[in-house]
Amino acid sequence: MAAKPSLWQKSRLVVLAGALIAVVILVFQAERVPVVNGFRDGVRLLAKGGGAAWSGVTYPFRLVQQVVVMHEEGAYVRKELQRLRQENIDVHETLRAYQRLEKLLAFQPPVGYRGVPASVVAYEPTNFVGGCMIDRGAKDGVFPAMVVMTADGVVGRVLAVSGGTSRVAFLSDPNCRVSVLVERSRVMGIVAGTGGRECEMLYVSADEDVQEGDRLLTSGQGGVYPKGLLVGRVSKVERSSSSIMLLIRVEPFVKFSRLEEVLLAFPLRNL
Amino acid sequence: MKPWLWRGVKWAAAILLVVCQVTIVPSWSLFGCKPDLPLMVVVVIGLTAGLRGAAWWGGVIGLCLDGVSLAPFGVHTVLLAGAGAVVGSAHLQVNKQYLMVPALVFFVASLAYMAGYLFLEVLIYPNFTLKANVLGRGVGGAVYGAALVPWVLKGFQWMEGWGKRPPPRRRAWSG
Repeated sequence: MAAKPSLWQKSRLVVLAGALIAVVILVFQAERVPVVNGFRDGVRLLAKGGGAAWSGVTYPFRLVQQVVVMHEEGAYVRKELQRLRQENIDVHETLRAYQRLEKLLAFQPPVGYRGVPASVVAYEPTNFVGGCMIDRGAKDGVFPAMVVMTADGVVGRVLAVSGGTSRVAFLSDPNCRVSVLVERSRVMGIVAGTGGRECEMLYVSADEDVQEGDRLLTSGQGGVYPKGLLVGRVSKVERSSSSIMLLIRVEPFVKFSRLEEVLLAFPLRNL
Repeated sequence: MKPWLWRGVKWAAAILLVVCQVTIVPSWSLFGCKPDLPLMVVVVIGLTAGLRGAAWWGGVIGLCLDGVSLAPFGVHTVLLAGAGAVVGSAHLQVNKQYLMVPALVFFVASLAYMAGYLFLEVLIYPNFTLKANVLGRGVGGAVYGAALVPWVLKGFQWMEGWGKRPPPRRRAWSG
C-alpha cells in the first residue's frame, strides 16, 4: 500500500511559488525595508573592500606588466622616431637637391652651348691649388678647356679628363684666367684668381670707368669662355699714383667651397 | 694574416685615407686652410715605423693622391715618399714623448712639402703663378695639421700597444 503524501509534499509547489512571489515583492519594495537596505550596503561595502584588497595585491604585478609594455612601446617609438628623423633628413636633402637642380636647369646657357649637369665628387687635396673633380669624363664627351658654370656664374674650366671623371680648375686659382668686360661701361680686362676668396681684374687702365658694385661678364674673347656669363662683382677699386693700372678686387658670384652640382657648357657643334 | 691580404688591406687603407682627404677634410677647413691628412699619416708612420714603412706608405698614398689631384702625375708620390723617407730616417733621433716635437716635425715637413710641390709645379709649368694667398694657405694648413698630428700619433701608438697587449693573466690554481 502506497504511503499517503504529506502536507508538504502536497503543497510544496504552492509554497515555493509563494516564496518566489514574496522575494520578488521584497526586491521591488526593498527601498522601503531597512533590513534589506542594510544588507545591501553591507554587501556593497564588502565587495568594495574585497575589490580594493585584490587591486592592492595585484598592483605590483600590473605595474610590472605596464613597465614591460611601456618598455616595448618605448623601444618601438624610439625606433620609429629614428626612422622618421632619417626620413625627414632624406626628404629635406631631396628637396634641397631638387631646388638646386631646378635652379641649375632653369639657367639658360649661352647661345650655341648646351648645359650638361655634373656632380662634384671630390675637392683638390692640397691647399695650393683650387679645384675639384666632377663625375663626367671623356665617355660623356668632356674635353679639356671646357667651361664649367652654375646658375650663379662661371666656376672655371676643365683641366684634365679621364674616362668617367674630369678635374676642374676654379676661377679662384692663380693659374686660371678669364677675359671679362664690365657690364655697365663695357671696359675689358682679365680676371685672375689670387688663391684666396677674391679674384683680381688685371690690365685696366687708370682712366677707365670701373666702380664698386659693377658686374663682370665674360667677354667671349680668347675662345674658351662664351660671351655673357656672369663672373663676379667689383668689390674694391684702388687707384695708385705710382701705377697706370687700376687695382680691382672682384668677388666671384660662385662660392667655390660649397659646390655640389655644376653645368658643363657643351658647344652644340661638337654634339 | 697572409702577406697578399695584408698588402690589400694597406692599399685599401691608403685609398680610404685619400677619399677622406678629398671629401670630408675640405669641410673642416678654417679660413680656407685644410689639414693635410695624408702627410700627417706619413709623418706619424715615419716617426713610429721608420724609413722603410714611411717611404712605402708615402709612395702608395701619393700615388692615390695623384689620381685625384690637379697637380702633374707623380708629384705627390715623389714628395710623400720623400717626406716619409726623411722623417723615417730620423725617427730614432726624435723624442716622441713631448707633444710639441711631432707637431714641430710635421710643421717643418709640411713647409718642405709645400716648397717641393711649388718647385715641381714651376719646373713643369714655367708660367705657373704663385700668389701670397697660396703660401699663406699652405702655412695655415701646416699649423692646422701640426695641431692635430700629436693626436694622430697618440692614436697610432695606442693601436700599436693594443696589437701587442699581453693576454690577461690566469689566476693560479689554488686547489
